[in-house]
Amino acid sequence: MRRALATAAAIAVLASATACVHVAPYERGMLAHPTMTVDDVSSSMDEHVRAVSEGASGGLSGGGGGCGCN
Amino acid sequence: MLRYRVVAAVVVAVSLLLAAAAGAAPKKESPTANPAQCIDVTTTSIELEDLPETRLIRASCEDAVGKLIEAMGDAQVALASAKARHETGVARKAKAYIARLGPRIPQVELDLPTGARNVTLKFDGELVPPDRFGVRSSTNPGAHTIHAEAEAGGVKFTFDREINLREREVSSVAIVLLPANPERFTADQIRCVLGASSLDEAVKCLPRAAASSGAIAQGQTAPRPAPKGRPMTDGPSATDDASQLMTEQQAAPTVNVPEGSKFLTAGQLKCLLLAKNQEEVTKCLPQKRGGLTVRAASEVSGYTDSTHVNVLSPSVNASVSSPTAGWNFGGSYLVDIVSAASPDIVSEASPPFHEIRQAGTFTAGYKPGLYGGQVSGNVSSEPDYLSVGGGFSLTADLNDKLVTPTVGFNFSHDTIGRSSTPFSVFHHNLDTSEFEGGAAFVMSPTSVLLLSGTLQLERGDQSKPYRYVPMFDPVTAANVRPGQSYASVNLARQSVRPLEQLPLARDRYAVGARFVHRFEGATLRLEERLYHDSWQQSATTTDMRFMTDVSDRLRLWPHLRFNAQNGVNFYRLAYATQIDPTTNTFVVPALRTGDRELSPMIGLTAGGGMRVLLTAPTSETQLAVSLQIDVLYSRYFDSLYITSRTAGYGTLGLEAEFE
Repeated sequence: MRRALATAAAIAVLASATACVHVAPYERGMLAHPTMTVDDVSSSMDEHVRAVSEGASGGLSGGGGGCGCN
Repeated sequence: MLRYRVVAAVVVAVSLLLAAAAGAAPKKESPTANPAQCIDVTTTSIELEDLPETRLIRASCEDAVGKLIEAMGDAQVALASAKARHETGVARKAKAYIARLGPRIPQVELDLPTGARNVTLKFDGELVPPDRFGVRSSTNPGAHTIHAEAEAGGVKFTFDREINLREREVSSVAIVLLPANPERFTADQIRCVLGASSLDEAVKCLPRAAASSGAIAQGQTAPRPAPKGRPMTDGPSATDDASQLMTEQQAAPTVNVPEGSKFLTAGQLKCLLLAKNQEEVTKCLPQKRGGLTVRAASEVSGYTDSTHVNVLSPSVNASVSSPTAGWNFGGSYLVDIVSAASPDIVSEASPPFHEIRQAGTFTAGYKPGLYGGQVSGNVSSEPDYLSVGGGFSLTADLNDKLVTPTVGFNFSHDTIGRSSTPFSVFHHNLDTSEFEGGAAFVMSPTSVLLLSGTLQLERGDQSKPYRYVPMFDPVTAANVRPGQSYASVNLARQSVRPLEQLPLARDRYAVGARFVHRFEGATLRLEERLYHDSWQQSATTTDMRFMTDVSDRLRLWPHLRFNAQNGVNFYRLAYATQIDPTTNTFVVPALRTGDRELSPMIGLTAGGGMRVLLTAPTSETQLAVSLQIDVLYSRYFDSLYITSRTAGYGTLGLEAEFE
């Protein structure tokens, strides 16, 4: 697990370095497409099913639960 | 000998010229003190006899007036000539000068949009051959002009820019081809053109009549914008009567440009092209002052699985935001109608139960510029479980909005009770604190990467008050098999029936990455999450969606998800217990659970979705219907009663957006 976290940290450092590549404002039209959001696009039922059927939690969209459903 | 006499003559001639200009006695001055005359004199000398020393002198004079390309040419000729003449001293000087000069020469790269064909590109008025498009080329420092033009779908597109290069600068200029008469198009149409991936796609952004009337044939000029409030027409019968205005759909290019028109002016478009960052782009476009965006949606979700758990969940949500002022607030409400007769319930001879859960959320935020914050709250209530929580997050736009970090904190307080028993008589508390941090990176014009991590600290007793864990004697426990039926388990278990008991603390760590990439007409969304906690459970989860824009109104996507996890360190298929001879009571394990989600398992989800836009893509009111259906297959490797579970769930939604 420590190796995985160290790998993730290395990816984060590399990603932040490559993000220094400049994308001009008029080149960002595609980024405004509604499917290009970095937010979670799953439905509330999708999130709820994941929360009760998977032991893991968090990471990208925060924790689930809050209902003792399983 | 003649060679040296010629060189000496050149130096003396330059010096005399300088002395004559200064009106003073001849003095030895630098040849670059008057570069223009120096160039003339050396050019004449080179025509008489091409000597490497003369070439180097001319190179230094050209250098002084910024003609670095010409200076490099002369220096290279001087080096070759000196080598041929075996003049090592001159060759050494030329080589050293070339090494110093090379890095000083600026370079420029002219990038054309993809799909651009038959483009005419000129740099300083000179035609650039197509094989040099996108290739880095050396040029002199100073001011330069770039002009490009192309035609697609009968529409002429042009690009004009002046750039000023400094020494050592490497510049990349993106050629943004826009319609030749920009004042005829709205801000949204220009945004669409700027976001198009090819000229053919850009033409689709323009209205048909405007596109056809925007084509400028050789020798014609674009129609002049009319004075405010007055129509303009190329026809013979111009009139001030607004009712007789010719619309865009008619052949004659009549344009009414009333005061407060939403059409872009040439000045606004020029501002767009010169914008150096996102903020400047935003300021160029007409601002919608006081505009609000209202969103409302209603969903009905359903869930059913092979363990006889069924859920029906209608919900509504709404939000109001002001894109210009930067504030937003919203809320949601849902109801879960649950009926369950799972093996866990049946194994305890309990009847199937039916339950209703209600949940609500609210959120509000403010982001007037580069920095912003969001707060949220939630409550979930059912007869034996109450959860109340809230949180906040802070975000910033850094590096011209190419990097967006976010930090946040959420807290929830859960009260866990038993059905038909007031909380005052029986309850457990569970407090969860969650810290989250992450950042989104714009990797390219078509890719974004989100890296995020969460730390959840759970404190309290989250044991299920209805979950009895079967106990077996040690010999029987060793022979229990996964999936063993509840009938045989009930026959083999000990008489003691302890409730589930989980640890009173759990620290959960997770890191994730979400990569989003736009192809032509489709978006790929990939996610990966790694998880570990203090109960020694680890998991990896991968999720993928490929969202394809089949048309302007229809979007389809497949969805795949895979989750794999091991069991927590106190999970057992069968717990062994023995009677303590001194107390004549069963000694049960301190930690025990029958929760399959704490056991080793894998889950595979496959499904898809669609979204249909019911209104025109450009209308201010947007109405859409969405449908998403998934099937989840879970495989349990070390659980009683069942070894797998198949669930199907889906959501039908209706959403509306008003401006």
